[in-house]
Amino acid sequence: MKASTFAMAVILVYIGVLLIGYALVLDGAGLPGRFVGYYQLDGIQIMYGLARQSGSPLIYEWVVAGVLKPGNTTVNVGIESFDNLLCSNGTSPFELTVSVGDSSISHNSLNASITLYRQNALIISHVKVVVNTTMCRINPDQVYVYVEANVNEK
Amino acid sequence: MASRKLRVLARFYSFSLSDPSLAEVLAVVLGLVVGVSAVLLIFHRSAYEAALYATPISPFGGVKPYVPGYINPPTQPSEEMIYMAAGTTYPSMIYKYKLQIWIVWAVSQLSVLYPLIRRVRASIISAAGILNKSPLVFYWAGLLPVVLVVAGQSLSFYILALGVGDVFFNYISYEMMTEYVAGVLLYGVALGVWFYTITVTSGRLEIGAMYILLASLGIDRLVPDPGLLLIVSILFTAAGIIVLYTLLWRRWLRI
Repeated sequence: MKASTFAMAVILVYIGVLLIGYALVLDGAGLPGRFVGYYQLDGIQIMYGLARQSGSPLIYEWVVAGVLKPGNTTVNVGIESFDNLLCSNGTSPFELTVSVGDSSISHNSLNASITLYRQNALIISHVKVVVNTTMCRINPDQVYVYVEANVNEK
Repeated sequence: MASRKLRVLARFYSFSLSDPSLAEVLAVVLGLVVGVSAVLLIFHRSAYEAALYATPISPFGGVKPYVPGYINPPTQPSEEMIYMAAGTTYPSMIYKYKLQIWIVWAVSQLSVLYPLIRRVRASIISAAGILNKSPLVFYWAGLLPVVLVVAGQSLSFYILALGVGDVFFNYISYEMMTEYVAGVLLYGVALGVWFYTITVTSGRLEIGAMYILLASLGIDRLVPDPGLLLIVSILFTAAGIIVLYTLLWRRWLRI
């Protein structure tokens, strides 16, 4: 092989490898397809009583961030380790709100779910848990909120 | 006298003359594929760590409550702030792995340059065509190809780093990125100049290769911050060119 042909081949191979590599990065190769987080609602035993006395709801609000493959993603949020559901109108004492980008959904239950398309690997969602202290009477225990994000298969 | 001049000329000029064998071609292709894949993995890992660093709370952490009118809500970072934190951390993560990037870069550079300059003595006849030219011919015929290969690869690494950051965060601090990446990669250009100078003046490729690998180990301790690395790299490049020119000129006069 001549040196000039070889030089051209080296450039072409180099560009080819770069493009293949970048396509793999775009596809999210090597990134997880699932994210799971468990968040403890700190001090719910004490704060529930204080909030109830002041007639206000007890609010937990935080940001969940993680790295996932880009693509169609479903984010599930739910309350765990809670058995004492005692609202007078039969509803959940929790209102869950999940926001990812411009999409947002609220559920007055123990679960909330949202599906959206993501272009970037970094997923950032805001989770808000409002505990109703006026209409409901709960016996708070250790309460956990799980956040699970799954990238749906293409 | 003429044969000595030919030998000296050949050392400088033969960088772009040797035709590689099939085994060398395969070695270069393999070196490039491994080099690009390795650097891509390093950028990928840097971006992943930057994203985790920007995460406000751990996935198994506790959350503080607030009661409207009674306890103020804790400050929440906005989405833009998190993207910004990840985007600005990413270049420093790359900087953290500069030694690995540099070793990958050096190995892939050597895999490209080695077959081209292996037959230093075998290409003496090919150098006969430049007997009556100025010593400056070594700059464009020898140094320039080396610097172009080095700069081309540095630029493609830079674009790749930006691309990975864009996929991860859709936000990159271009100013920081340029300073960090340019500092590390200009160091590569500087060492490319010295690699050429040492190899052609000693006539021993092994000495040049050994120097480039030893220098790659020194980058971690050589300069404490990217701004200084940038300045050192520019000075290093200038010094390399001056030394090369001085050596060339002296040899040229002695012939």
